[in-house]
Order: sequence, then structure tokens, then C-alpha cells
Amino acid sequence: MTTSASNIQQQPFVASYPRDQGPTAARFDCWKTDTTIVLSGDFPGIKSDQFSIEFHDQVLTITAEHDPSHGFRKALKSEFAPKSLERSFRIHEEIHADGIKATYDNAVLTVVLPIVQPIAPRQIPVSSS
Amino acid sequence: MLNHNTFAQMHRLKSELERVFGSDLTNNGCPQIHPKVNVWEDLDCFLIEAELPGVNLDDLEIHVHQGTQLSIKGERKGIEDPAITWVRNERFVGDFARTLKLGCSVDAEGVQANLRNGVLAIRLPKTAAHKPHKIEIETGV
Repeated sequence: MTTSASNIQQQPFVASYPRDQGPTAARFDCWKTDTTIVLSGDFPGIKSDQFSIEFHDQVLTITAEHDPSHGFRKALKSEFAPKSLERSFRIHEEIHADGIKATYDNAVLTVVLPIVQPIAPRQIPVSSS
Repeated sequence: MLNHNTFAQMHRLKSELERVFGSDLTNNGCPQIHPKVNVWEDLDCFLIEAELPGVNLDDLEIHVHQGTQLSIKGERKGIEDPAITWVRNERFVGDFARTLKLGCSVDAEGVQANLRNGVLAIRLPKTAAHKPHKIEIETGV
């Protein structure tokens, strides 16, 4: 499922849990600057080489596969299960696809999408003959 | 009629309430965020995992109380930049804490912890009295 990540409200607020995404959707914060859209999501337990990030037809899709880690025998409490995570975002701005950068640090994946800037109007001088 | 969709909707409602009020409703409504944990037991130790993405080591404290309780507390710092315009905010920031009672006493001096890829793993060795003792079998003459 996709989330619209542009031209939405400007106030910083705690949005609702991704309604259509289900329990395997990674949680993301999104923000804009004058020149970029930034998506930053939590991927606890995921290694940096387990990501797949694709941008196609204005949709950014992020997938992370998780490997089970230890061989302890008995679970006394289990509130989170290591699992694969996925999220997609539909971007409504024109993006320089070649300039998309992703970094991963401390279980936080940050994807920066550069926005195509409008070409400023150019004044054409008139010369007299 | 209850079905999978009903339970999925109830789960989403619970998660939304937790995020709005900043509390874990399964933990007596305490006002702090409580990180999710897994607790595993082996013959000679416990392993506790806590999901803490984006938390720095400097902002994290772990304590063992009287050999029978473990507490994890800290803070996840948010992004403060006046030049940005927020579009969506789904992740928690702020203080968190969790206290767990262990099934038996542990050796606090032998506790090991590491934070890797946003998962805090704490290994707590049981005290000698709670480890299994191997009984030697004597053979008759």
C-alpha cells in the first residue's frame, strides 16, 4: 500500500498509525525542505545490506528482509517478532531520480529525494538595430 | 462476527491510542513510552531484547536491582530544525522506561549488553544456585 508524502498538512503532529499497512509496515517520519523530501524510518534488527530500495513511476518502495538471530530455547515474553518490513510512498513532486541518496545508521534509514527545481524566468534583452 | 480484520482493526486502534496518549495501555497506563521487549531463557542465563531504533548509547541506562529486576531507561531525541516542514510523524521521541522482574536472581557483575542495529540485547547469567547441577552417578562395586 502507498502513502502520499507531499503537499499534506504542515503542522508537526503525531499522525495516526499507517492505517492500511498492517503490522509489518515500518514507521516513518517525512519532512520537506526547499529542495528535498526526506523520509526517515525505523528498521530495528535489520542490517544495512538487507535493504532493497526502488523508485519507479513516482513510487518509492523500501523493503528489508530480516534473518532470525539466536538459538535460545524458551521465550518467556515476546512483544516483537523479527520480521521483514516494507513501505511504499507515492511522491507528488518531480524528483531527480539519479540524485536519491539513502543512509542507514542505528536502525534508522534516511532517504533524501532531491526535488526538481523550476527554471526561473529569464529576461530576454531587446537590442535595437 | 469476529474475524482477522476485526483483530487487525483493534490492534491499529490500540496502537493509535498508545501514540496519542504516549502510554502503553498494557502496562497500567503509565505515562512513559515502554519499549517492546522479548525475554528468552536458557539453562544458565536470560536474554532480553528491546527495540530501540534511533537511540544513542549515551542516552541509555541499564540497571539490575537486587539481582531480580532489570530496568532500561533513556531518551530518544527528535529532529529539531526550523528549516524543515513536517509532512508525517509516526515515530516516537522522548523518554522511555521499562522494568522487568526476572524469574530468579542473576549475577549483576556478569551482565553483558550490546546495542546493534537498534536492538538492545542484554545477557544476564543466572546465579549458581539457579543453574542446573549435574549429578554424578556412582557405580556400585
